[in-house]
Amino acid sequence: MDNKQIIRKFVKDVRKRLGSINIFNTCLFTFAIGAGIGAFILMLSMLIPMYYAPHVSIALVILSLTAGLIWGLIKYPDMKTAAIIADSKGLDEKVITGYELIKKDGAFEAIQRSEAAEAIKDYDIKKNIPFDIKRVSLTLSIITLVLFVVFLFAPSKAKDNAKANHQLALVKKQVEKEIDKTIKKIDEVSNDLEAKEMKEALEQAKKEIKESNTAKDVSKALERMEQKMDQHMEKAKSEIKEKTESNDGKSDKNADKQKSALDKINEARNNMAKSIKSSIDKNKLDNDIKYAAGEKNSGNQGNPNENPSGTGSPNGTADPNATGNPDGTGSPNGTGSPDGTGSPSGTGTPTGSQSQGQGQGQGQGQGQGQGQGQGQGQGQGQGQGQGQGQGQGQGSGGQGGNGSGTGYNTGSKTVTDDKRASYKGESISIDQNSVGNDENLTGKSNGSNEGSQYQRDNSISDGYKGKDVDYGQVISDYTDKAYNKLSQSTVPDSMKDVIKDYFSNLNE
Amino acid sequence: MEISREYLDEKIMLLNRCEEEIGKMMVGQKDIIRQVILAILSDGNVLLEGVPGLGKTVLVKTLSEVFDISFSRIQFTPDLMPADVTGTNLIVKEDNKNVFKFEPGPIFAHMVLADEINRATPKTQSALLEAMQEKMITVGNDTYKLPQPFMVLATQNPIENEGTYPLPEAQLDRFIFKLLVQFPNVDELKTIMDRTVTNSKITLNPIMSGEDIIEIRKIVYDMPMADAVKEYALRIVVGTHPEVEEGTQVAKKYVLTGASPRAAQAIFKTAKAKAFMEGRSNVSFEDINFVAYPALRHRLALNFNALSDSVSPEYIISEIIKEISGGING
Repeated sequence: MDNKQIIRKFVKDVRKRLGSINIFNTCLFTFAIGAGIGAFILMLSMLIPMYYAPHVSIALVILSLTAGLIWGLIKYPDMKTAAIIADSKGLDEKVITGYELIKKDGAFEAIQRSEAAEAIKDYDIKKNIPFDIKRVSLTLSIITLVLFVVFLFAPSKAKDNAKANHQLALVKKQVEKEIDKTIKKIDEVSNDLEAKEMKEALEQAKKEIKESNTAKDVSKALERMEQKMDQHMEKAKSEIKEKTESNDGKSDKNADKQKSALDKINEARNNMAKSIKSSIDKNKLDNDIKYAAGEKNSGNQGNPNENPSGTGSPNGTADPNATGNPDGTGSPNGTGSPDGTGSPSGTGTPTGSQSQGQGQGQGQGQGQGQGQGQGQGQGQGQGQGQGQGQGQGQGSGGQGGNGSGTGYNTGSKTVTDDKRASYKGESISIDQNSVGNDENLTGKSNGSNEGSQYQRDNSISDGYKGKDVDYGQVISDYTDKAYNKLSQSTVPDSMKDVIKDYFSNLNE
Repeated sequence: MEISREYLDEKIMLLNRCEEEIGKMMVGQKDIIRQVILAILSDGNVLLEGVPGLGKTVLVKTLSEVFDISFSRIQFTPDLMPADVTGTNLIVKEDNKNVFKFEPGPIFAHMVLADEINRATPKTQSALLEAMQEKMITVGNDTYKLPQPFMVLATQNPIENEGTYPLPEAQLDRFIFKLLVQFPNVDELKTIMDRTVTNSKITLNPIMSGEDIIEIRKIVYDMPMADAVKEYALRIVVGTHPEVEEGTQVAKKYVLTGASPRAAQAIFKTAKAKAFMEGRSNVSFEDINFVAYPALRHRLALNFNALSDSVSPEYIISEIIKEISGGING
């Protein structure tokens, strides 16, 4: 290797070393800045909910390191600078002069190169150009790194809130998406009045979910949506049934079409419910958002003649079984057996060619069950039954001139008024004429701790046109009206929340 | 002339021997001796400033003896006329005819000591201008070349300004170096006493000839200089200018007029000479720093701020070097 090559190689080696030192120090410096800002953001995230704070902070650190690397590469010393720096460590500008004279071949240049090569031989690059780490940057980097890690992993309420909010937002997004899908499906399969109302209900729910800030709000909005959908579904079913009946049981193309559309809507609802449920489970919000649409829907599709025992499961999931006797035989069995001590049953046995039945069930957890059966028959028979006790059964038969109905109660004798305090009746009987005794209709104890039974004769029942309306339906309708009014009024937002809370509490 | 390492070493050795020989007579003042030799090798003139009795004249005499070159001394006084320096045409009889014949003045020597140059009138001082720069003089219509190597070593007293004529800027600029001769310390003073207040006589041997000086000058001019070093030297010179963008802060504050391009030439030449004397074949930043002080100090015209703050040219040069070298290393 001649002197030229020796000088060139030496300068290259020095340059490499200086470049690596430079890159390291710039990375250290930018890391300190990045980690410092990141730590500050993480610290803020412990006070203010910021879900993306860890992501942003980590990205910031990576970005700062990248910037440091790029900066270091940009500032990578050129050959001349490297030579000058090497010269500054005792080589008296021999290297830079030799390097610059590489292309010249004069006698003086050769002597100079020879001197430079001689000086380089004894030059220890590592010793003369130590890997000098900037202490300020190093100290700052260590401090900011420690703070970064501490703030990253330290638990805080704000962090939990941020996570919950984020999961809620994801669920909301998914719910909105699913609602949109369901609306689209409804659009595809039907455009009758009920379908429109269902769509409206879904749109309303979507709006409420969008505006909701807590999991509770979302939960309520979903609940309301389900109630409305249930109502509309039931209404649609009734309409189909009426049509079928008015056609003397013969197949009606229109009704079939409607039924098919209803099935498809139901299927869409089920799919929506599954997706929403899945999203809730995925985001671990099942403790915050109670959504049982799937079960409800399956209940709606169940056999309405099944015993409406209304047993509540302790985990809080409702198991409502639709009750009623849609075949019009007027045989509503309302059985409430929260603890098994009461077994009221009310039977009505109207006989008639035309009858209607409706069943509805609802259950609540904590060992308390509620059942409701409602049957309605129209024809020649007439009957009414009522149960009373720890559970409540209620049945109402149709009305007819020649019909007869009986109701009896086999409630336990041990039932006392005191225990009724825990009973939460869900069924309200609205007497549409002034005749009748509301006391009997509400299932009040007869005072003797025994089941009461009475028979109403035709003359009394002539004018009685009682109609059972579900409590939830009443509240739901009431809530809807209130919400509609609320959206059209100029009530301040803060008061709107109060009103919404009120109705939400009613719904619970 | 074939340049080889051996040849260079031989010349360097000669210079080192010269220094040693001068050191026999001159006690201390090593930097002054070195700087005067640098000026000789750089074909420059030197202005020596110091109080009387510091050995300025002895130094010049010693140099002429060691370098084995002709020497003349001119004592500058207010009544000294230019012709007393350059020489004049005299009417002489030749072949029974009266003719004008040029009688060379004391300037016609290899080494001229212009003692207390600031005591002469500007007219006489100016007589030196052509000789210092062009190495020739003009008397009447005739121009005469001065012997080579030629150099003027002028001295001036920083005190006793009464009856003196400070050298004009143009003349100062013709001195490659202005050297400040310092008072010797006690040890040096004791040695001076031992050597001078005794009957012992110091004999100086001529080491180099005028030809040797000229030869070394040629070598020095060929000395390679890295671009970075050149740039550094030029930035220092430009840094003395308050009116340019590259001017340093200290220059902008204290300097009225910066150094001329002749200053850059002086730095380049003397830096190369210094590197050569130290046995190197390249100029370093340190060489530049060393020669910057004597090359620049008489070329800076300071403003009123500098006078009021009692700022010396040395301080300004050191600040300029700090600023420029900080920029280079940083």
